[in-house]
Amino acid sequence: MELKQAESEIAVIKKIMEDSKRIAVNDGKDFIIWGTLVFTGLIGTYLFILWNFDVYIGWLWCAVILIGWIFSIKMHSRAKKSCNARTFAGKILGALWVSSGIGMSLIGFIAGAGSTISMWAICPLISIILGIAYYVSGIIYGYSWINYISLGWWAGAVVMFIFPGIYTLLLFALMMAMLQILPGMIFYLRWKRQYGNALT
Amino acid sequence: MKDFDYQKIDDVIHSRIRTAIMAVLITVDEAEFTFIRDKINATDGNLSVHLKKLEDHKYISVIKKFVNRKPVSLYRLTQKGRLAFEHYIRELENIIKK
Repeated sequence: MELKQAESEIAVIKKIMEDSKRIAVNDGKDFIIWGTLVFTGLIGTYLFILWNFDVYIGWLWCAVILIGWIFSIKMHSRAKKSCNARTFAGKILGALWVSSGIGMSLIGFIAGAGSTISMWAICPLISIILGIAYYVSGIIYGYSWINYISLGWWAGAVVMFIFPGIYTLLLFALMMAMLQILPGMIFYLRWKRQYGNALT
Repeated sequence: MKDFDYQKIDDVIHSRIRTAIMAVLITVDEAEFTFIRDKINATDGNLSVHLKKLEDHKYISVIKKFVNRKPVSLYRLTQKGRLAFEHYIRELENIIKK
């Protein structure tokens, strides 16, 4: 085997390996749906408190979390059937977001219903978990811009911890739009560009 | 080229299509026939022959099952295959270094 041939072999192997790794590309639908649901919940909570509605706010969050999980479970079981290859990175990403989702649901719903933590601590705590999930996802995807999103979540958590109050709901809703829905749209557009012809 | 020992190059892997198959399978836990075919742009017949050769040498394993009543072949790299591929890469790197 000659030097040129060996170099060419290595180049081909590298290209194929990089190409095959890309199946961990996210379609962003989870980000958009969860972001929109939580955004709606936050604005709803803000308005309920502002207008002194005598309704238990927990029901709104029950609906938000239930719709979100039903959507996620349905979408992922469908994706699992159509997926023709499985990677370790994909498994880690799935586990990361499921565990983060469970953690956020516990904080937002169970802890929120009890009295162990202040109502104003829920948003910053969820923000910290989202920061961690985005940071690890950024490393796995190999996109540094996702790591910067996690900085946004953590910075927002600091602000919400220092200045607790009703306006943190609006700040968190804004963060949800900018740091969750918007990245979800970017993921979706990238995914659509890559798998455009295979869209169903 | 000096210092090149052709016997060190694994003949089972040393074919463009089989190298490509191994490169695909080393990045995934398991992959369907169609996934490998699409990644390396091979024809069904050609790919089957080369997959069989790798399977015969126990470099890959296959699980055949039915999903929605359709037959699906899932391929994965065996430990022997992984070691052989790593060794192959090392040999290529040695050639480049020399």
